[in-house]
Amino acid sequence: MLIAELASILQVDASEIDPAKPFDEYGLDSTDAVVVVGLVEERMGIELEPELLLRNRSIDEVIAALLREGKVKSSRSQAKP
Amino acid sequence: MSSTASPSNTKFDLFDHDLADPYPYYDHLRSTAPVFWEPALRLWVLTRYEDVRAVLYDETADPIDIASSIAVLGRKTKRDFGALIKLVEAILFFQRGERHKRDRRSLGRVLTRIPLSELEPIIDAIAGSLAAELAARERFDFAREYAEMVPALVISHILGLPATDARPLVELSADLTRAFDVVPISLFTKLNRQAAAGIDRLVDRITQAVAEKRNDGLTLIHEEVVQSEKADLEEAAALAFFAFIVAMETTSALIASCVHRLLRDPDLYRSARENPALAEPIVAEVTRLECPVQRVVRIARRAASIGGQEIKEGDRILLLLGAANRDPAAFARSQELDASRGEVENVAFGGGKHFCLGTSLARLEARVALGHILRMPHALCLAGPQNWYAAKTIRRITSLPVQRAGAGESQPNDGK
Repeated sequence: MLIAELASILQVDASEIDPAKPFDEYGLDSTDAVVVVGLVEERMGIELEPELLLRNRSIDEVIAALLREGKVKSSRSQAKP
Repeated sequence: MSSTASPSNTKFDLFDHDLADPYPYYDHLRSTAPVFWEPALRLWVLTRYEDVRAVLYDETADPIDIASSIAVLGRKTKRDFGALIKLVEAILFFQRGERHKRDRRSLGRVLTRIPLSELEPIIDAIAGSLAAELAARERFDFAREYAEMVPALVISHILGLPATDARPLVELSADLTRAFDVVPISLFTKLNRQAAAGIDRLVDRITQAVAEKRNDGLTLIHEEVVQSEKADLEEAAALAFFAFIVAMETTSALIASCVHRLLRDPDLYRSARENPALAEPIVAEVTRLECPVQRVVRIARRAASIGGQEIKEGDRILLLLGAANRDPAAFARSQELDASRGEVENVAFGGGKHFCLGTSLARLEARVALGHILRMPHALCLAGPQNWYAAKTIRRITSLPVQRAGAGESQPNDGK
């Protein structure tokens, strides 16, 4: 889900998003972070801090942080588009 | 960008420091990576006094364009942030070129319309009557009821706003400076509503002042912005609202920090109560040490080498003013409050073409406001945990519960 939103914001194909690749290599900036998190909240009802996407450098790191905080349940399907 | 700017085993997280005490984090940054490339925010972070000062005084460096970022955010999320953008466009320290000249001149005229010597007895009366009211209370919130109210009432007076507008405008200002940070879209939506309400109220106040042919801060802004430059009334109102916010927020931060510090330093508090003339040097030192404005971002307009790192044209540079002001290379016993140090040059009020216009007013207000607290018949003590504003740019206490020393079970609490 996160990947799909990220792909739409960065205007690339979801399959091109590598969960391990640092966000800054995609050119994700702080405005994008706010937009992506806003979309995730709108569509999935999960409230996230946009800083999460800046403090954690890749999708893998974000998911690990969310699991640590108990914001999402462990299920790899959530990380797939 | 080279990653050698930071030791590879250290992760600096600019979002992770303690709002109440960011200084150990700053010291660590200054001593291990004084010119540090932050990959997520994509900017350089400077913490040494000389480096920070050099960028502040670099006339070619530009502020960042927050208004455009909010506009992009609005477009991408299909939301209207028009009022918030209007307000941010009126923020002097983000402005460039002609707009900056016009608005800086206008607010300069507003701030000097009443000479400081005439303003001092007015500030004294405002602070004195608030302090007398609070002295009669067992317990109160120093930040909300005093530190915010003194500057809010003073800037209301300078602008020509009724005193009854002060509290509602403080409420409308809440969290507005968080619009400079990476915050949820729902907060931007809320801040846009507050900006709209603030601008609407000031449009009404300016219209009224002009109709009554008054000679006050509001009519001055109207003359400079609307009459001379043909800008719309909302632009004038946004400038007046910005003046209110910046005057209230920074000065309240300073006043609350002074008292927060005194209440944790019994020896200094005792000597200051015995000698209230110490208010002035204490204000000077707290300004340096606690620095209400913590962050300034500039865009380099020419390549430069800072601390062995190559800064390219177009790179963004984050200046941590609070870190610079505690640089041991610039200040002896840099972490200590030394009332005998006097007014030493520091970067709390910025520098160069964006040097704070309200510097003298802020110092005067803080000195007078602190003086009344020192002359209260009984001493105060902390009465519970403090709340810190969540914004990154402004560091201030938004709640500081205090009570009469000796009353009830006083529990000294440093709020950590």
